[in-house]
Amino acid sequence: MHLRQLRRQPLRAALAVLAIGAGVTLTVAVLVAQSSLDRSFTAYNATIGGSATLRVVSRFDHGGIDASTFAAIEKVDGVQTAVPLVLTVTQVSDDRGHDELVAVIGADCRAEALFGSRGCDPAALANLTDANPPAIGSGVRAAAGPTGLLRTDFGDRSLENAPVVTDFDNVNGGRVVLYPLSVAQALFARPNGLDAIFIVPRPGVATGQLQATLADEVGPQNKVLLATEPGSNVAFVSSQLLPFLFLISLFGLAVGGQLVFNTMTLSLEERRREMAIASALGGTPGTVTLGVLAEAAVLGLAGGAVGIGMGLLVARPFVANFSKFAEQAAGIHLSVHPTVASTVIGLAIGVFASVAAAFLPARRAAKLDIAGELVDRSRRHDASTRIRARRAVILAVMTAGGLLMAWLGARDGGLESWQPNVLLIGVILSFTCAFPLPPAFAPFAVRWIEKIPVLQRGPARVAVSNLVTETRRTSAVLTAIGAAVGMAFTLGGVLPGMTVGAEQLARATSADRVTIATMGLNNTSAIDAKVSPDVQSALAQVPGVAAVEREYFAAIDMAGVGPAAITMNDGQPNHFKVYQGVDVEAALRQGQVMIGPGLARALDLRPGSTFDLPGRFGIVPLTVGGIWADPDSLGHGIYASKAVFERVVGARPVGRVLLVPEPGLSPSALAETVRAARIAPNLKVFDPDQVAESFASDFRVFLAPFWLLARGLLVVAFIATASTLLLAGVKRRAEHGLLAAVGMPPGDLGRMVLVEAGLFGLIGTICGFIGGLIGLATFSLASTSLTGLTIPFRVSFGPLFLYGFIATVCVLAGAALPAWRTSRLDPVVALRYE
Amino acid sequence: METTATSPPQARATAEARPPMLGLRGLHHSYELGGQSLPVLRGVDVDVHRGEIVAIVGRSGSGKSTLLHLAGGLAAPDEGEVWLDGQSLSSMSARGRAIARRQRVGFVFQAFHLLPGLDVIENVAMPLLLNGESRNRAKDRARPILDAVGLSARADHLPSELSGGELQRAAIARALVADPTLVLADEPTGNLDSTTAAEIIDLLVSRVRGAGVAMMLVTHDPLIAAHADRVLTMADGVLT
Repeated sequence: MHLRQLRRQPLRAALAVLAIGAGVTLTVAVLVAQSSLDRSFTAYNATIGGSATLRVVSRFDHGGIDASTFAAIEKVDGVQTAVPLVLTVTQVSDDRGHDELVAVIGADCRAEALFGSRGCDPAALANLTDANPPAIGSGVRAAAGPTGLLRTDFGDRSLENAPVVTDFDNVNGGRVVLYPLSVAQALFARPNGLDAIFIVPRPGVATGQLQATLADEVGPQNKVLLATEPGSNVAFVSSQLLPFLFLISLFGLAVGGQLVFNTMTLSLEERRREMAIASALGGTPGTVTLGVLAEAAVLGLAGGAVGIGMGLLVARPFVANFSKFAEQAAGIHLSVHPTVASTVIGLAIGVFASVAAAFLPARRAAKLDIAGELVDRSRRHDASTRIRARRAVILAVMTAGGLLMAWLGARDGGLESWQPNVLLIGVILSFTCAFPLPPAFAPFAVRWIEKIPVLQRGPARVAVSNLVTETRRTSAVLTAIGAAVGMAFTLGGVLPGMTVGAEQLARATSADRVTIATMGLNNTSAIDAKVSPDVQSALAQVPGVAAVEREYFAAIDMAGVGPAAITMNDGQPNHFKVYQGVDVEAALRQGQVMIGPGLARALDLRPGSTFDLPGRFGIVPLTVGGIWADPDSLGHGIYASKAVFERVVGARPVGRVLLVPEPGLSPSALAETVRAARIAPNLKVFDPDQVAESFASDFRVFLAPFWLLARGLLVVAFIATASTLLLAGVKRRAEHGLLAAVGMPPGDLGRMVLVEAGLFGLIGTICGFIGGLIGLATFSLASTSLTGLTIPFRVSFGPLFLYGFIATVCVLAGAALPAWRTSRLDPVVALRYE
Repeated sequence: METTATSPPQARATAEARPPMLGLRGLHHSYELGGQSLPVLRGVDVDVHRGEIVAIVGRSGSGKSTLLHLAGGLAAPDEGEVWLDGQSLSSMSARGRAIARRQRVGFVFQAFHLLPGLDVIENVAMPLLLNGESRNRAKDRARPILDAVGLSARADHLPSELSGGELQRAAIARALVADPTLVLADEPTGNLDSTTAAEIIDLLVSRVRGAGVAMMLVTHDPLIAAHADRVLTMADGVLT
């Protein structure tokens, strides 16, 4: 009986399929993006790893494996050949100054153990210097052109005479540069440092056993992975966007599920009599429940299939976005790699979401008052006002509880071990309830709207009464509209908040100084095209420069913590708000370190605590001087003195250079002078305002998926309104027939539906405003702990009005078909409908 | 108000000293069923005069309700004309017919058909609200008629809180609130027990006679039909 409904109501089935499909689309796109990321890195490792089965990598970036480790590995029983490699990323620049990121490999003749003999002559290789051009792949030649340059940490190198090796075309699409190992170590500032050691085992040696032996030998500062296994680079790239996108896809699924719930509820309302007859003839509650769930499963399966198709399309821009991060981290280009698993999971999620959404309506249907329905004693009406009011109050309490938990969880930097969990629960609770809360109260508030004179006449009066009477339907549509508008309102507030946060960050890291870099200021530490020593010397000579300060940075993959970083300045230190302990000057003076709140939380550290950091040359014990609001690496940053920094990671190329202006000279004036000096073509000069803008611009990138979601939610609002009003039109057919009988002209019947939709748009915008305020408050409370950045509460009404207007237009567009159908109603047929 | 037309029935009605409030002339109507045309009315002629109650009786499916729907302009006949207070409904647009119904016709249905989202007094006042009257004024006008049908105490209740008899009383009040010239009642007691049915038909007839309006009443119950001035039988698509 239930499955036949799908054939009988193709439009309704199509809308439900579309709703689920939209949610599955995002999920599949995220899964495909993740698999593309994994496979691209795996393929890259497999290509350069050749016959190796294991790979040793450092927990530090930038040549973190010390040469002493290599010597130890070579002596391990079971290792036939250890192949040392430099693996990094830098830029090539064409003659128009256009830069592209490429992978760099430094290797010596031992690499023949991976690929077989290629006639490599160690003596000849030893004679090559950085004056000799590298071998390049055709992708590099295409990017650099005939006279392009390769950027290094010690200045640019010409690629004009670089030989193109077509063998490289299967490595990262030919975007690869090959230098002799020693030259790569010199040009990319890795004295005695390696990025990977590939291990070819002796025949018959078990990989697992050798892996364990090597792990003991290389120390906790290094890791032994399978040769093709994705390393910390992948975790870094994933951490940039995937968690956000995954949350968005969950949200999309929840909205899709809500629509299925709505559709099922209305659909079952309409079939009450039919189900009562079936029950009277012997159908059990189980039969009814199973029938409804089977119907939902079929819808979910179809929705999953639609979502998979759409997801594969949507995955392309997602992967392109990831590719930017992957190129910055390792110079690796990503291509789209869909997997069977992602399609199977997409289908499963579609079915699960649909069945879960239909569960409650199915249970209600199973509890039908059969006798009452058969004698028409059971009237079709929503839950009583008291029940609705109770639900609304529960939602309000949950929202308030969520906000309270978010506040508690973030208080004082959220350093206690219980705080992250409380914060997370608070944020989830608050965000989950923020958007359904105002619509839950809306039907009660609409009673006030009833009093507006223009809404008291004819079609408008009936439209308003529909909103009041059918509270469940009203709440569902208002939630869909409110979520779209509210999301835009929240984002509109986060943007100016982020700008303020970026200004604070700029003040903390580069106040009153000019910042010099060769690339953007964020997520570029892995790129070996740093400000060279020659350029630093030239900068010191620029008139108005009182001092040149340098900032050094190293990324660490900390066991039990994840991506972290250690930073130091050789001049004026950074200044963030101190939560606990001494200030930075005092800490550095005493040889202690300042740490971010995330690290303090993860390792349960407090001022005076000591923790062991696996440094490049062995374990380095560090003492915490203070815990401060450093947002670097999501609060997992360590700030140290130069001596401590070098004890941990050794020598490094400079991250960025800071110029201190002479007294009386403003940073912006000095920045102009430095630009005019044209010291190097790729030099980027930032005054403090531009640093703030650069940070804000990078942060805005993280909001891009959320704006996408806000736009997607507009589509959901459109579908929600269209489907709900179409279904309501079916349910209310007799009422419309009666209105026609008592003299409502066809046009007015249609207008009545449009008035209802217009009210949905208006009230939905108000709901979005309230929900958005709650969302903003939550985000503001949690931002420091979740993102590391303190984002103050700011309200921006522009997006509210814009999205409110667009949502209302979408809703009216969604109501056009139901309105047209209502205006074409045959009153005689409609009156027969009961 | 849209006007007509050819051959108004006033001329024929002069002999009866007063013009018919409802004139049905040569009505033919059929339904499409499974690709075949099923004739329901095969040339129906009838006049209903001001203050007159005409009952149409007949077996189920004989076309009684169809005749009532055509008389109220809810549907257009395949052939023939419907005259309401001297104006041809047949030549009016759907909007014109709706306005004519709103101003001159009151409907009473077997299934009551009250709007579930409005309270009783607003349901009764609905024709007035559709006529553009303000909510308060419409309610003020509805109150006396609600009182007359004995539902003053239930004015603020929702339809779901009323019994069947009360629902039909409200429907009668709604049919009469806009001072119509014609009431069309389709099995008005069909969903009620015999005692309540007797009360309702007495109420309906007394209110209709009191207001001096014409009424066409469709029923299959001879006891109900007995309240009419004339009883016509519908059989094989014609009235006898």
